[in-house]
Amino acid sequence: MHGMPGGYVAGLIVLLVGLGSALLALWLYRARVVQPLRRRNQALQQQLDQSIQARQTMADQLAQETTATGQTKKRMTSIFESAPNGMLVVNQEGKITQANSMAAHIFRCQPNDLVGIPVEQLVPPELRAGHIHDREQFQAKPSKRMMGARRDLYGVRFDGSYVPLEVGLHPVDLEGGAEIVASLVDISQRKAYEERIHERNEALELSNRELQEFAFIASHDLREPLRKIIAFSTLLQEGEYGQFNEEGQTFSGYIVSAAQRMRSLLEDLLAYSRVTSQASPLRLMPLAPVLQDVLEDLQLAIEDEQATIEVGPLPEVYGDAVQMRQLFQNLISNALKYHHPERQPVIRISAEEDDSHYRLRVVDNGIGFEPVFAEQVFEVFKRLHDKQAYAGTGMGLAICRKIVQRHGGVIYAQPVVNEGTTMVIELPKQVLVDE
Amino acid sequence: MSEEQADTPILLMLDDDQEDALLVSTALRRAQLPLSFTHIQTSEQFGAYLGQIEAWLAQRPVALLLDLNMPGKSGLDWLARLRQQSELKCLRIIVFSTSCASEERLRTLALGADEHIGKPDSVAELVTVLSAVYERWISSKEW
Repeated sequence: MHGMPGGYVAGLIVLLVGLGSALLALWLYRARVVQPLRRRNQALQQQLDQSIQARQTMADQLAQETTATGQTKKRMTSIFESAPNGMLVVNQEGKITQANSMAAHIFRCQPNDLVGIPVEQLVPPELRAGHIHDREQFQAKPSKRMMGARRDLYGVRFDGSYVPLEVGLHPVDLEGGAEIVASLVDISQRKAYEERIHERNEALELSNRELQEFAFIASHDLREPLRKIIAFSTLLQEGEYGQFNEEGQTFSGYIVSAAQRMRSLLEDLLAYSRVTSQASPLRLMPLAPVLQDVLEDLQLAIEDEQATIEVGPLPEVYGDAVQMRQLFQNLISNALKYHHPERQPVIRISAEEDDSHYRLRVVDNGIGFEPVFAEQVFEVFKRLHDKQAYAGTGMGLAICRKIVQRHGGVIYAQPVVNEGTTMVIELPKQVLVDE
Repeated sequence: MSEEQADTPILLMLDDDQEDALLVSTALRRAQLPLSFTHIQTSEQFGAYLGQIEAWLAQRPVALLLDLNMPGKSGLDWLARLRQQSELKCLRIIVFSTSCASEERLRTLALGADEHIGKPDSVAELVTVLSAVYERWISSKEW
């Protein structure tokens, strides 16, 4: 073995082998350990990136939400502040934790004066004990509700005066226990209005009653002096106390007839006021017998005018028999009275019905009148003719209308000049208000 | 009344209205009814008469024309009270009122009035009415 010793070669081989093994080991290490680590690292990096991004998004959202919450809070504060009602927040212990300026306005103080005080301080002293009890019950079992809508509820202002209130209670369930949001309405103005309306209604009722009584008493008592005028005038006319000449007779006659006329006016006024003051309850009653009675009463006038009366089938209506009789008596008397001079009177009484009403008609062939007066003829003391041509006080149809109105119906005239008049009465089949 | 015979029937009138009393006395004079007429204007005066009426009733007919509208105790009050007194059950009570409205008439008749008449317009009518009252309640009937 020239040149190189055999040990050197072997050593080189060993070195080479060793180097190879080391390289192999290194390669194996890279393949087995480093690369997965790097991959893992990369994945981690990726995850980290994602996480950072997510956090950023969350932070952004949070910021947005914070802004939104701030805005909501602002909005809520603004609503609370600007509410037209007084608003109080009352905590579990019954202390006011928040109050708006309207509440302060109601109690005549500053909002800060209300914060921190027990809510019972705003309750009238005599009701405080009851209020504490009610509040504790409410807090134990809260529910939304209105107070004071049905009964009188009062608060005490800082100056000691009382204020009528309507109170709405809204429980707010919080972790520290339920709070109560109370909304308060100062109803003193409404109360004042209600009181005024009530007073006016009472005054109106009183004045109505007085008017009724007045009409009744006046027409009753005013007849007394008239009777005296008539009695003493006729006594003088009889000549026992001195003879009148012809003119004196005529003039004293005027006194008597004026007094008599005045008395018929009063009698009709009395009849008019009696429609409501001396009324009987409405009962279901047949109209046919009423008509029969009326025609019997008017028998003489009917014969005098040689009138023909035709009565169709008539229904049963809810009515006051006395007043129904007066109604038809007035209408048929009118039909006879205002007959046409050139023809015999024909008067037809008929009835028809629809779902809700009976429609009764009294039709004549008399002189009729201008349709422009169709409403006026129902007015009190309204006359279309002078009293020489036709006697009467002008109360007949006014009484008719009052009777029909009392029966919940309507009456109207359909006149045709020179041809006749149709009087229409509509009566409800059902009486709405049972007297 | 002093000159009348002891059995002349008596017509009393309780009415606060003097003119009506005057008309009635005028009518009675014209009708020439054998009656002794006395007008009593107030409830107080009439109250004092009650004992006297009882005494009169022992001897002769007594009728009362009773007005309804009077101050103080009304005619209806008197009617009810007089009809509760059994000693006065023979007293004829004729309600003499301005109003002859049927409901008022029913009320007075229910309270025991013998008749309810409206005050007429003239002395002539009054003569007729009072003569009828005399015939019906005073002259022929036993009291």
